[in-house]
Amino acid sequence: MRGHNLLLLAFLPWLTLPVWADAPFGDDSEVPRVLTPARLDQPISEVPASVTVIDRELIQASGARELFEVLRLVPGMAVAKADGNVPTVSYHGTQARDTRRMLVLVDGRSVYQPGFARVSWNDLAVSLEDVERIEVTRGPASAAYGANAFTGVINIITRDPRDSIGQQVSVRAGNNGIRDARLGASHQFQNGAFRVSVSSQRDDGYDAGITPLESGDAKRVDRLNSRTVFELSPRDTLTVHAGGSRSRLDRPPESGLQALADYYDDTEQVGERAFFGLDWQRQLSPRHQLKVSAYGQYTSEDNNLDLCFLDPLTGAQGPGGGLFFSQELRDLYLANNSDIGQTLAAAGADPAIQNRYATLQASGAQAFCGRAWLDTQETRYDLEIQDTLQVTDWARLVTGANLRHDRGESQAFLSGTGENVSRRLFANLALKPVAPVTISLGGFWEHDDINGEHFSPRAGINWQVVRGHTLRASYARALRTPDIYEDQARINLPITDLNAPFAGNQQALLGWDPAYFFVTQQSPGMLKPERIRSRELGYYGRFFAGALGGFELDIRYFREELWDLVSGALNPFEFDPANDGEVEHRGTEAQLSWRPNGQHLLRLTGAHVHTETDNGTEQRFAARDSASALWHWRLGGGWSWSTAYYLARDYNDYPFERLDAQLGFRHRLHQTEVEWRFVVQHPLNKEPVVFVENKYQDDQRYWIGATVTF
Amino acid sequence: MRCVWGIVLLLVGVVAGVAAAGTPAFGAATEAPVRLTVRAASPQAAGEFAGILRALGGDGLSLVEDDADLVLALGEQAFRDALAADGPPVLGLAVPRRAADRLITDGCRCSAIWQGVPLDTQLAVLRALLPEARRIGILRAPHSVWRTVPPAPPGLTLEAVTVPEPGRLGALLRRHLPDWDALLLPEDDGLFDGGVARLVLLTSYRQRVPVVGPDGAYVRAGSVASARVLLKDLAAAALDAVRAHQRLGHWPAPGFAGHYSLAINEHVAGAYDLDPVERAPLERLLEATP
Repeated sequence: MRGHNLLLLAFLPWLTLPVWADAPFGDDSEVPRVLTPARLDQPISEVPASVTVIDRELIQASGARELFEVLRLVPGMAVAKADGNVPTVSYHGTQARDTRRMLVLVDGRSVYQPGFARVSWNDLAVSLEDVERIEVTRGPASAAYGANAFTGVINIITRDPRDSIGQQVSVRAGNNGIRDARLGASHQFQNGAFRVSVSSQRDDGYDAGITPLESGDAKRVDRLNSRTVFELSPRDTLTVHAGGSRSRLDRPPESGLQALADYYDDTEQVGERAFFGLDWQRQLSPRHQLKVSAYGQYTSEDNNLDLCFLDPLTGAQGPGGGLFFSQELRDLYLANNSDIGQTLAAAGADPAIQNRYATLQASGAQAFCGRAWLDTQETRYDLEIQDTLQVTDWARLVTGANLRHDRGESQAFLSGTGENVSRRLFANLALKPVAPVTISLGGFWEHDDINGEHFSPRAGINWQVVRGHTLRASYARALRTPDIYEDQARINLPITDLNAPFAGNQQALLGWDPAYFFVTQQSPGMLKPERIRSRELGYYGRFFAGALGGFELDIRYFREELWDLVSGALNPFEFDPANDGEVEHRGTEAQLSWRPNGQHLLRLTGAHVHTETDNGTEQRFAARDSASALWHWRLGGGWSWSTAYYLARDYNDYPFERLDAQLGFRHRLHQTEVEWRFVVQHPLNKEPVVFVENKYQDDQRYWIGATVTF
Repeated sequence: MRCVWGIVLLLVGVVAGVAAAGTPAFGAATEAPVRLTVRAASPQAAGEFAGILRALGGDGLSLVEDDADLVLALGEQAFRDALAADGPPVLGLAVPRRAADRLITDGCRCSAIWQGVPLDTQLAVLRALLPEARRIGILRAPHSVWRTVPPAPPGLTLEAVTVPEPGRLGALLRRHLPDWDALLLPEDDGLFDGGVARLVLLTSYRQRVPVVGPDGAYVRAGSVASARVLLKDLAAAALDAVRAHQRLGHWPAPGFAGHYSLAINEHVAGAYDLDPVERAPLERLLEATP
């Protein structure tokens, strides 16, 4: 025993030395703690899901002109302008025109439109140049974001004004009518900064002159985006977001109406968006942070249908076309269980219809022409409180509460107004019981007026096997709640701007005032939420291999089961509100970034997905194989080169394959910096995109752009 | 005969071994211990440093208040005061390089160990911690001692940007951070004081550019890591210099401490996916860095 004590005494100076010796010299200056545990984000290797981050370098290297296009760099993401000039972006795509199964956030604000369950990519009030980075959570994430984070979440983060540089003027011009312009301004003041940008994008879309897009599918979108940050104190930050957009889209004729009427004017979709949001963050302590967010947003869309209806007997324009808006044909339609074919077949023998037809013929009119509107307005108000607490060095807890009010208004689709109020509570806990293991547990409880109460859980474990190599397993359930339209649809299409003698004389000539199109639909209001269950095994590696450079690799094997899907169409001519769809996705995805040195970046993604479904429409946007490859080369002297390859085999039986190339040059000119970019997009096949009408007149699209920063 | 030579060699070896084993921690056993005086800004600081010297130097040194052989002056002001006193040879410790250059004259019988860590050492830490960083930015003041940036190792790009005044720092960060994978901050009192930490660290974090350096205080504030000089490192450097003085009869040329410790902000490193950081290889790297 004595021997042990002596040994201890002999080492005592050395044992005590570190106590003195750890005292720093020269670095004990007063530097406040800036990046505290509560402020820091969770690293990708600890997230219980596959995450793809598209940063500014990738955005610029992609040469993309529109925001949705960069999402082709996400493995498993289906991206195409499936409907003329309306993009569809869908992770593990199902229906081709479907954007309702994925949540999209801009600076934490949901742009998923609740009234009519969609994301309007054209109308996002943010231009690609405003984006700092895009974080894509691949897989259900309702446990973190609530309902509608169904197959995944796209989180678009705009540039912080404190990081914005001076003023910018950009112009871009190319074939297919590409004409873009953007003005950006920023200013840093004493305790904060602001930035604002105004941009305009226009192009002629797909080919004009090919049926059924005779009128083309051009678009013009104007956007305003601003963000202001006030550093109220070292612990308080207030951010103000505001902006809006206005769009004009040429739209193709409604296929259901083409057999009944002639268009006397083209259809144009006019969209308007506005939003205003406040975020207040308070650093309660280095380990504790509180965030309060509130926002409101407004969306409006109107499509004009300018039609002269065909006489059902002659098949030519004439006053008999008024029958389609007669009280009698509506009654007959309802008597025939809302079967359009049966109604039209029985119309000729119906005495009331015959009388109405005679009245119309006696009106003396040459035709029956008027304007109908497909109108939608949506508003959302959202208030959220989120608390982030680093409980211990090995436990971090994020909890919060959310209150949301959604309102949808449409004469055509709802015959009025529908509302929904949801209340939500959430908690996500990340535990590190031992250094290489992270256990994530999360849940999201919500109650809304339409769908009642539901809960979405997620559990995951990440195990860092060796430094830079992490294995991941996760299980998640999520749901998509029926929107106001699916729950409360009451389709009634009134007609206005009628020609004489119908204008102001509807009661006498059509039997009712206002007069509606004979087809009507009504939702039974019994739809249940769509559900998804996902299991995932993944690997995330971030490592350096000597002379070969740095690598970042993510591989994901997944199995996703979707059920209670609302697979049928829900438009005025086809209305099938039923939870009868089922889909199963199984497959593997990988993404690799390789930086051999500071000059080169190579990025590869690939996905192989087996999709099984009981409904063919759910497979239209499900490409079995998809891939992307991007190579970015900084040539030096301000020059850069990038080339990208995209593959999706197939979207609705048509393969998508394209090669892009971009040459960039940045140089200083007096006090300004000028950047030139020349981009070519070259389709590698002659196939249309998703649908047969989506063909380009020119095989190649190309444009040149210049940005001046001063 | 071979056997005799073998025995002789063995004896020589044993004697040499005994002699070597008998060498005390500091100085020869037969020599009188070197008498050192520690000067610092406060008696407490001097006492603390003397304690560490005593623990490291053992019996080979004697810490005295008067009649010292050599003076160790901790910090710039103590160095100035010691030089003004015109006493025994003085070694300044942790003296800013620019001040040391002014104070050390040809006949002063003095030298200094500069404050801080060489840029090479910080770069070595950065490379070990962030091997995938290929484009590394360095910010420096106009009259920085880091006028000469070390040559970039193969595959790396080092871009040094001069900040004309602290007020321009924000604009330069906004301009250059998007082009960098990591930011290296050399020690520079004129630029990286506590006042700009929030600007540098928050701007870099928002743009996901990890910061390495300039010192331990910045690491506590949110820099990923930094090599730094602790008192024990400074004491070890001082003892190296005292040994050299005994051997050569004069101080070695001014230079950096040559002994460094590592500071890592585990939370920030984790946020950049560098968790868990293996400290041992990094500390070995610092031992091997001059």
